[in-house]
Amino acid sequence: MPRIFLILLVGALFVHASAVHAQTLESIRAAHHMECGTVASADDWNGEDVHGNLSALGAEVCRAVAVAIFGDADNLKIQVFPAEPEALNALKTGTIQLAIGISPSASTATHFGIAFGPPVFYDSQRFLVSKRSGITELAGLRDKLICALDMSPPERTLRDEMTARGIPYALQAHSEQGEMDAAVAVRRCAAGTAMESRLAQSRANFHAVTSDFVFLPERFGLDPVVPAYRYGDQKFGLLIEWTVSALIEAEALGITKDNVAAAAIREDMRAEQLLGHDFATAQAMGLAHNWAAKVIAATGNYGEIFQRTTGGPYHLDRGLNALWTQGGLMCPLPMR
Amino acid sequence: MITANNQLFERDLGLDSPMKLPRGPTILWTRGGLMYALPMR
Repeated sequence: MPRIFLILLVGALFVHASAVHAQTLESIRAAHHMECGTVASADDWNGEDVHGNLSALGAEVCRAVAVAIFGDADNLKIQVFPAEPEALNALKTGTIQLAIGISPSASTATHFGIAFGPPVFYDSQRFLVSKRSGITELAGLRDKLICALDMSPPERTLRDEMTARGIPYALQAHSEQGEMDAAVAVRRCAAGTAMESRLAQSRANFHAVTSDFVFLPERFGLDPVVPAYRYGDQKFGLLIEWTVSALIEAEALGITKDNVAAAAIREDMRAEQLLGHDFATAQAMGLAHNWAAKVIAATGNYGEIFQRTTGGPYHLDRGLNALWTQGGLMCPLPMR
Repeated sequence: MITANNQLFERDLGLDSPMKLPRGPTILWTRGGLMYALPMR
């Protein structure tokens, strides 16, 4: 009899352990606590991180998801990881339930047992040049010296794209980010190339000469930065997807942190759906009918978050992160 | 893949089809649309 009891107990523990992984949202609710990771992308090139430090943007998305679940962010703890692999390991082992700032790939998904949410930032490889150089387009870099990080994906892409476009150039390969930043700032090279977020972060640290540097219009490739969570909990996945979407929809509808309370009386369909007169989205995810209104009151809409965390500090325009109606790629899902 | 997707769209929805839909947002991001490929790594 004790042996049977033991087998039942062990069996129950196994069921419980797998259920915790499958039901992330329920476990967050039960603990009344969420651990969310962001990625600081340390300056030194480590072969993994190609993006700049988007952890402030990531923290706002963490906050938005926590408010969607709890109605406020009091029960949220944010951990900042130096690079993506550390955040992904913490996700895999269950230390955190959500990570923001991940570069999605099929191999990452299967290796860590995770799924991805919608992009919170579209990064792309760009070129930073001095205004004084007079270079205004990629073709202006013909036979010029270009700085890149040695053996980085942007260095490889540079070679491929310039070959395809028939633009010869000279390469100055740096083994350290700081070294490359210095070479660009003193105009030792005609242009620096890396991901836009990383170049913008570097440029913000040029201090006196920050405003002397601009991006060329061309972009090589597109690298979305997304949320990641352990695979298996559909509701948690939907919650992340629609929380990000609510931030974008709020911007599309002109609903801001400051006017969201007053917007509750709006009678246009999309505002009613977003702010809780239509329960369908809230019901599907088991949320309060006014969950999105609370999120927007806490964080502001996507445009406000972008400006506060990324656009302002890095002097970065919206670019690909503008709404799709304004030339960008940010596109809200229907709230019905 | 770019060519393939373009061909599929034109045949089934676009100017070669009865629907005669312009590409609009369903064109590549590099040409002002919303279609982009995820990294293949």
